[in-house]
Amino acid sequence: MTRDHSLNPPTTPSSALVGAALVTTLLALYSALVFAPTDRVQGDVQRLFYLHVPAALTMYLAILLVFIASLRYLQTRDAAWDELATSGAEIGLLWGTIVLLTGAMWAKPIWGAWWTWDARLTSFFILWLIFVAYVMLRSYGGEVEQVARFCAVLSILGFVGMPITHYAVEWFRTMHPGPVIMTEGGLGRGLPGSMLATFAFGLVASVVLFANLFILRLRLEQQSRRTQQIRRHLDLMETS
Amino acid sequence: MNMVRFTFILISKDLRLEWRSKEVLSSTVFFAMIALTVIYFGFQPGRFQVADVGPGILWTAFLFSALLGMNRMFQAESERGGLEGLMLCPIDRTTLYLAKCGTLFVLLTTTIVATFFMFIIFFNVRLLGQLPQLALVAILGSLGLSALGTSFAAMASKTSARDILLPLLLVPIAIPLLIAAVKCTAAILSGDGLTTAQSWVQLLAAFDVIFLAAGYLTFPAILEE
Repeated sequence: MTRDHSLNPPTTPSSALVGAALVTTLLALYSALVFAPTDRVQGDVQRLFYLHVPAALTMYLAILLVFIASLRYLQTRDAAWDELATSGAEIGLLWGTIVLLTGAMWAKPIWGAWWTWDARLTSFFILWLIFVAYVMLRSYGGEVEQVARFCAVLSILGFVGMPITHYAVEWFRTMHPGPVIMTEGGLGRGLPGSMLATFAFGLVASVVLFANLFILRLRLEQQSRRTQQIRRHLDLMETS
Repeated sequence: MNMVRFTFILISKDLRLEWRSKEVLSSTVFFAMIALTVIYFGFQPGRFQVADVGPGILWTAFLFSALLGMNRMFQAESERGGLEGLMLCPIDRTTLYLAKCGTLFVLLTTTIVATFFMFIIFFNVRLLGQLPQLALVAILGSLGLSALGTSFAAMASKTSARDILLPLLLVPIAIPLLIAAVKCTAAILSGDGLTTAQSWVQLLAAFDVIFLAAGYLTFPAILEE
């Protein structure tokens, strides 16, 4: 069951969404770099937190998006779900890369090493690797419909493996800073108000920017598939 | 009932093929031997404790030879149109999953038993007294790897970049299995036995159950034409 693309004009981010991305990103940058107080222990490098943690949370959102879209694709075989999944995975990989890079920049001055095999680092790295595999499978997997099925299965197997990876690396050992937002003392008790506000700006900016890029990527996917369809059509007309 | 019968018929067919060609086992066992040799020379002689690094060496060698074996197992199917033939059989695709997984399990278990023995000889380890515990870890480990490997090897065999895709797809998801297997083997090697690594054994078993179920349910989507 392939969708007739000619009936659905390609998606574009509305100008409101683009504007929102611009405003929230500038606001988040301003509050992270200027408004938020300097951390007494860690100094300015702590400001990476306002990019690192929102990006990580957005990545988890992307994982959920890809998983649900993949599941729905296998149920309905509607190509629209597959377009959602592949766009989400690619932009999610970008966000995941940001998380790893900002994490390494923070870890070098604070822990004295770019990387450690800490539980949270390891499990996030494994997730990132699964996203890399997903994108690789997209480019090597053969024709569109087969790749769609394979990628959906990969994302489902990757998703159901998440809890077990979590436990395995958690028991292995951990040294990542504990949660400061959702602490046992209550929501947001671990941070002063200005830092918490900056974090919230960062989170909103990250999600809105993700939505923008995601929609653009989705449009690209839809257009590339439509081009393929047209090309196949032309080939058929030539041969007949 | 029929499903069980068909599964066993298919497994015995695959094993008979393997018995005649020795295509998979010859490559996995010798590759494991090569890997053990290479890894040994990565260390300064006499400067490392086998109890510390042995389990990692063992499972690394096994994992890479298992990847090789999985690729070869489906290569034969795709080269000679065997997979299409199987798909024409009036049986469920899920039965095909069980059969392939079963065959892979037998082959991987054989490989790991061979790897264990080469490890015992090359690294001069006394392990024969703990064989039952070692067998449990070997079985749980190769079952989990077969459950996951069947899905991914079937996928990779239908793509153009088979050799690189299989490790990329399989290894990240198999890392918890590898960690747990190494921890269990370390507990056995250190002489403490599996009672000190109970949660790791449970983790291995949970891995097997989760990926057998997930692989069984998603396999029809891989084999569609």
